[in-house]
Amino acid sequence: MNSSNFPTKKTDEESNQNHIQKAPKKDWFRLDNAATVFSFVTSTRIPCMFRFYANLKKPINVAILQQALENIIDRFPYYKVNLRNGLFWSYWETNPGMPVVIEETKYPCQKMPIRKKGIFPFRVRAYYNRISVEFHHSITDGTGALIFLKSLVGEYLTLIGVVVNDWQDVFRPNQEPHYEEYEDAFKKNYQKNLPGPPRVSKAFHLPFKLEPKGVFHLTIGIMPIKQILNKSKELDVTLTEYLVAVYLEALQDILFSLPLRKQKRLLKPIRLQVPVNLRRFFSSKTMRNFSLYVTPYIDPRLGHFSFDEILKQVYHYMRVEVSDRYISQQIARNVRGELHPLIRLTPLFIKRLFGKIIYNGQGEFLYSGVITNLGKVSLPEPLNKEVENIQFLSAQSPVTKTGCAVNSYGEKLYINFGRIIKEAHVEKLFFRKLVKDGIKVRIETN
Amino acid sequence: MTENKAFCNRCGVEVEPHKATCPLCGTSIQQTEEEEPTSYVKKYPDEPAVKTEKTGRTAKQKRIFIWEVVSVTLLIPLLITLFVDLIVNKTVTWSLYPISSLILAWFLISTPLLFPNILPLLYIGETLPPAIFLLVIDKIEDGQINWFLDVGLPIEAVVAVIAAIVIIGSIKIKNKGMNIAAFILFGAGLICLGIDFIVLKHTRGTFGVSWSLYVLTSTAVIGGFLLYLHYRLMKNTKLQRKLQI
Repeated sequence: MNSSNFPTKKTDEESNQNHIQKAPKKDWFRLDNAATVFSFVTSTRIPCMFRFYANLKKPINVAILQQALENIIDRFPYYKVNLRNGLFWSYWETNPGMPVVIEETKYPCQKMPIRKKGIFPFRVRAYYNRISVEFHHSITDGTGALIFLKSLVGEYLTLIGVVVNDWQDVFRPNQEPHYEEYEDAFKKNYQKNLPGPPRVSKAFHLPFKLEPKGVFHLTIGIMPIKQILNKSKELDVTLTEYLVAVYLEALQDILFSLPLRKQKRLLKPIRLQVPVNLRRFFSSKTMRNFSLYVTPYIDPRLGHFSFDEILKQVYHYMRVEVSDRYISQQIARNVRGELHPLIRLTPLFIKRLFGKIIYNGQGEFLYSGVITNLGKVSLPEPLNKEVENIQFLSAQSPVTKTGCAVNSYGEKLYINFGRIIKEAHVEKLFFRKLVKDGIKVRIETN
Repeated sequence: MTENKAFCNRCGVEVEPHKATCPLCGTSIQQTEEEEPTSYVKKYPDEPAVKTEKTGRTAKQKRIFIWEVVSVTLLIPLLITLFVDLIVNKTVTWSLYPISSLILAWFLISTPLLFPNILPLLYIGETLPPAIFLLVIDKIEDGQINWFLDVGLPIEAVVAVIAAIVIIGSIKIKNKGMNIAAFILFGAGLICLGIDFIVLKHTRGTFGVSWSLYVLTSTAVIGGFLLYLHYRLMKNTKLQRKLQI
């Protein structure tokens, strides 16, 4: 019932034989399953904000960037919205305002007052040669945000005179949004009769004190993509599997370096959250949330794992778990909860009270860290010459305390670590391992 | 101009040339090339996005400050009237009226300033002092309770109950707007009805109402009109999205 009120594929095809690409104009739509949870838990500590940014080769002209934003925003009507409260559910309502390019801040991904009237669920920041878009996770995931950034950069570069012939996956202002871009893909792919995934226990968490609210340290590791790909090929694993194993080993080293009493108290499985883009498995053009995760882990209660053992465990886990069957179970669990009549009839303010408990119980407390690999990011031919790199940064969490976002652009791989603690132990151990494996790493910070 | 390259000896990573220490382990960085530093633009601005240090008064401190100023301001007329009464009459006589009024005002102002978010306390703080005030005024006259039990207390009770219903209704209602004005009007009409009934019973000893019916009819009609406007307006625009299940 709580699905988007946009027409299904069938009805649209029936009614608009000649215009099946065109999305009907609607001034509100429902939140998807992931969006609902993110909208409940958002706070200064859990801003649910993530960032994509492009470093251009030349400094940004903010006035032209603003014009580019105004040109492109109508191509993304599902982002030109404002979160409003209903009696039972929140909903997205068309925002009549115009987003404005704002200044960069020392710490990215700050809290957004998402429920405030007139607030867009994203912001665009400009600083020297960098264009950043920060999205609230309740409106989209990395796929949507990346297309938005690429389209914004594309339009900006067009305005300063770059001519592009083949735009590939970059959206243009004169295009009509496709109706599938609005869809709630979780509901579309919900299989009612599937059992939910098995429950998992709480995971090990870094025992370090949080920085004051708002402080978000960045540590960016930049390395040649060839070197790291060669290393993972040498080990017969994918790049993601290799990086997951390095991350797990870093967390294990921290756990075993703690004083014995503390170590005993914190001895729990070390489990990582690895987001998976579900568009890989289920056909969907949605520009809203459509990602879930797999959770590779090691259990240090069974003893110290060597790197080879970790790698072996991650390799086999990923081969089994990254499949549409197991992902469908997660979709079934999440959507089933949302469709329960009692939950639907519960007033919104009560749902919000329980939202955080569900988020912690089903999510954050079960993981020791987050690593998300977006893969190769590229721009159409003439644009890529104007852009130094595109990178991204995952949302911060007061439970996992660190997170890591990986993508490649051109010849380089970018690993963006974000943390809300002072200690950079995870980053230190992670990058030292890469250096030890023969990879040249350059570190940048904010 | 070539860019200087700086490395951390312990971590083995290259760091930004302007860094004095390794961002991973804190070890001091030694430059490998002895050249002049290249021009450098900071990756991020210096100012933190969120000020972690509190500056100025917090909302609570501001409220307490206002409360302090109001208390002192009310104390001035209270002391003046008290001393004038004492000097002229050598005892406290007429000044009891302004003093009790000022104390009532102090209670009514203090409660929302000191307990703005505790609704039950706020409610008691706004309804109990007027009742006590009426009792005091009644007793000042001749030391006896004359009209308080028959008139003062029932009127106070009617006002308190109807105000509670209006307040709770206004808080609970989701889509706020003209409907709140309608509730206040309905409440005002009912309060008039209650006052009329109580006063008539006390003065003439009869059960009934007179003038308040005109007030009630007017408030009911205007309130009803406001509700019509509010919900009719909402029905066409936002009701569907507001009540989605």
